[in-house]
Amino acid sequence: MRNSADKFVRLRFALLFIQLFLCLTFFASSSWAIDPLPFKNREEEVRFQKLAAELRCLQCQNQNLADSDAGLARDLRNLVFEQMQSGKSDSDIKAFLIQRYGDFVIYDPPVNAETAPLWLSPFFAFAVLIGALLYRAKRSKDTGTGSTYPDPKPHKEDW
Amino acid sequence: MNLRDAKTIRWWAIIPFLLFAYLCVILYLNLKSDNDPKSVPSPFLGKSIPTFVTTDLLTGAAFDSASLKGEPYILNVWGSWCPECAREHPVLNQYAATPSAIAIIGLDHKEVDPNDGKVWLSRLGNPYRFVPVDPDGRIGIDLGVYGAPESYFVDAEGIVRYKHIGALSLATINQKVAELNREK
Repeated sequence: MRNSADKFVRLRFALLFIQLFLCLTFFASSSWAIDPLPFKNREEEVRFQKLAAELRCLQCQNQNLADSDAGLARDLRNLVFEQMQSGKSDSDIKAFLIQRYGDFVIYDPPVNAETAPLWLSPFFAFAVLIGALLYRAKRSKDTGTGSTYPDPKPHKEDW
Repeated sequence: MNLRDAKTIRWWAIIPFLLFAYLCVILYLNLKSDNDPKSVPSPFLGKSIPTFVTTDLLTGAAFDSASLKGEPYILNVWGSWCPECAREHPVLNQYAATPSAIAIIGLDHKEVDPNDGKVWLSRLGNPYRFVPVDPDGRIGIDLGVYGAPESYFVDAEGIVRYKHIGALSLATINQKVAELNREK
């Protein structure tokens, strides 16, 4: 009898915990820029928020335009909004900012001579790894030992 | 460990140590260099500086930055709200007082009240030939300014040769101006 009551309490705690977790994650997902910008409709606002999240605030470098409270971020948000109103596309607006602030202003760096090492190094590391594995596999096949690790069998000379 | 294994030297066993040493060297060098991660290279380096038209803070006359072409100059972005600019200001005064100094143009960036800028200059001294104003920060955005003070070293052709983020030192000014003159 006591056992089942215990179980019931535990279940209720678990449910409470899940509800709390859902509440917290629900609020976490909506950390949007809060300027009172006069959006024409919901669609425009969503487009603006998406664009602002893809642009870096240079004054506070680990935040995007949507998150940042810095003066520059506010100015740039207004600028992005104005350009949206005047009918510019997302790529137009990005190009406008890259021309002035460089590639650093966008979070997705383009592939060019300067960023090539950044993009290629994972593939390079992967190739080296595969090469090393193939080399080892080939060598162990040649020697016929099956492994280059020390023989796992205990030897008489072992400590 | 047995004798038979001890004799075979596995060269790849030192790779983790080499990697570790490599990391140590790279991190140490970066720590010791004056490479500031906050300083973002300007996309205008080696290109023409964007021109702008505004008014002068002190005279109220029209100012067109295109008229500066033909001589090298330093475009210094400042504001009376900016503490680092106040720290930099004596250096600019000192440089401007040297006989061979090139012109310094002081862009008064995002001044809330134009009077603040005037008071600031009368209090700390005015090293600038012109003081164009940028109250809403739009000129700053066109120049890629993201925090004052910032200084553009522009050659006689109007090409940006160097951009400095943060307060200038006299040594930096002299060195970069010498480079501007050499390229002329």
